[in-house]
Amino acid sequence: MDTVKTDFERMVQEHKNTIYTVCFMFSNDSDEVNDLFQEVLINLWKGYSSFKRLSGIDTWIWKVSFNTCISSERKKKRHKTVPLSMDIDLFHDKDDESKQIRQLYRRIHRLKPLDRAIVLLWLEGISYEEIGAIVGISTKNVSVRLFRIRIELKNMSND
Amino acid sequence: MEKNLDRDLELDEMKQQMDLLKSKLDRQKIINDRLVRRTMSEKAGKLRKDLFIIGGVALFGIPYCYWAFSMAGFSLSYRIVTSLFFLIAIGYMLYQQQFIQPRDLLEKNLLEVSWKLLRLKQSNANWLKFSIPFLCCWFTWFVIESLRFVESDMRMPLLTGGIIGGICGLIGGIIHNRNTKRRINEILEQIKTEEEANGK
Repeated sequence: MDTVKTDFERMVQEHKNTIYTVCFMFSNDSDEVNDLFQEVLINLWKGYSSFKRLSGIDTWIWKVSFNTCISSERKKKRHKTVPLSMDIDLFHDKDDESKQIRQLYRRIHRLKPLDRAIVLLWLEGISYEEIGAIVGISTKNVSVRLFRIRIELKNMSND
Repeated sequence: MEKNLDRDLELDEMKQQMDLLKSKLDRQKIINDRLVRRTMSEKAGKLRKDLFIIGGVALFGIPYCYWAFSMAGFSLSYRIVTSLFFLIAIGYMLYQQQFIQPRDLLEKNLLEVSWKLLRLKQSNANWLKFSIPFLCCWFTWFVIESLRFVESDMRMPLLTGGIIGGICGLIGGIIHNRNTKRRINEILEQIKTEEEANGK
């Protein structure tokens, strides 16, 4: 059990950026990011021992993170906040980096949940095929959606 | 072409902002104070549960042992001493509760909590210093009572039952003591790690 726990902790440390980025893009405020972050970690822990490694660990983490955030988006249920998060507040920090990141957030957050997931994966440099595998659509569908997302983003900046 | 370029520039900007986000997150650590406290609190909860179980057994033991020993013809003084021991054990369990409140682990200063746990460890050690010699004497007295007071055809079954019960109690006591020590040490270790991580 201790080995599993240590491996899990190591995995979380290695992928914390991915998990936090997804939670950030699907939240409306700092509390919600923390809630989602906690929820994703709980779901990862629950699935960790039965994770069969048929897909890569990165793919699995993306999937769990997105599924958790998209389900939460649907339910919009506020859980009791447990301050398990990063020591950062991207919604309120005043440095230039955070301002730039908030601009990215505003662009992505206006997209529908599934499109948010696709564009996040695309920005990570993940292939269309893998994006499809993670979000559960065909590669062709990914290509079509990305084209539409680009148009939508373009229209947003023209607004 | 220009439209494409505009689109690419926009997406390039987004990629750069994404890189900024990643580098910012790289510099952060996960704060897991609450998670660690919750784990410790669960361990403390198990310790308390063990205490309640032992206390419950002792509470049941008072009337049962008094009745059983009186049926077997044991002396009044033996029955009284046995009942008193159970009462002292219950009192001791209640006294120990103050050291392992799971709520303290969620809310209180961790140094204060670790101090309480160290006192709990010490208290356990003190209890063993009293209970082990007492139980050795009590069991010797049990054998004497069995041989002296009990009717001859009941002696062997009673002695056998007593010895088996004694062995089971000894094994149970050893396991309980080891588990308690282990849990306390784990909590103390987690507190130490957490304090170090917070730079204290």
